[in-house]
Amino acid sequence: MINNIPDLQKLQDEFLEFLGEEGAGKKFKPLAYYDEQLDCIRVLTKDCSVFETRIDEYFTILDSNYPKNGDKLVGFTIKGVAHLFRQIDVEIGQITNVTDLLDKIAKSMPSAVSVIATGLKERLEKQEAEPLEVEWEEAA
Amino acid sequence: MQGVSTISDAILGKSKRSSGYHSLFDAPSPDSSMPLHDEGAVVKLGLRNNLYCRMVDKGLQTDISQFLGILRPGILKAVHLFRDLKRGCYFDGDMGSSRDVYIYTWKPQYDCERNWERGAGFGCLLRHPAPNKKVFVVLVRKLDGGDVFGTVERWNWVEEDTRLPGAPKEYDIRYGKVIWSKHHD
Repeated sequence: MINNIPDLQKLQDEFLEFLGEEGAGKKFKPLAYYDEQLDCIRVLTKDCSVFETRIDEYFTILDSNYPKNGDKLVGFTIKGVAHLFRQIDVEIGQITNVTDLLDKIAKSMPSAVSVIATGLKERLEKQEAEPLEVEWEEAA
Repeated sequence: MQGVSTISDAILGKSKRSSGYHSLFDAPSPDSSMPLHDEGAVVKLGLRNNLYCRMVDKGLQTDISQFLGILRPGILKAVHLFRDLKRGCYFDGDMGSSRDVYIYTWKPQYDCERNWERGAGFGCLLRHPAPNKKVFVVLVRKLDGGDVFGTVERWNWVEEDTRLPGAPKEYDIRYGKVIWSKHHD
């Protein structure tokens, strides 16, 4: 870490101002949401600096840049949702539970995609005690 | 296609175009004929209010720290600009909207991260040396006309390509077109 640089304090001040008093008090919770601008579902279990690895046209995985104590996987992205949902015969918004969605993808798609979906489902179930629900609508 | 678009529109409800900006800032123009420091060589990018609200409400504070500490001050030093995510991308009634996504990439000196071991005060941010062999990638959705070229929608680190310094791994598979590559002094 490089924290002894003079402008870090300035950045921190700007960060807190950007968040506002109410925002500064918000805590991160694992989440899944539909990114309508880029037509993808983002699943994130930890708020940290990540690097993205493209698996194929449907999946990207998110690994922590600075993993601590264990699994570096902190999320994944399901891309091209409109196209994908047509292929698996699901309507947007129909499935909200992320593990159910991965299960549906695993059962409906060719083997290579199915293997990835199954692997992500197992990892997610292992990491998260509570099921994650996709938020389909962007905050106003 | 019609079914998806109808359902999607019904669920998402409102106009998908920008509903205002939290902030605007400069970025290099996609016009490759303009040298970086010439007048007109920059365009305006916006951070949508909706995206700002999502980041704040959901506690996506590392994204915010990277926006403030890497993206906004650093995008003028982007070394590559690509266009088209080259994947299925439905947006605003268009199933081929990935072509309206532009991708700026460069190698920043530092990374930023929220330190959740601290409260919202002194020490709440961490600054790391940039991750090894990674590049910073910013996805921009182009707008139709107006003074603002596009909106930043996603930013993150990606493994660097071994053939083209400053570009993401397999950039030629990920993206449709190289708009420009630049060297900075």
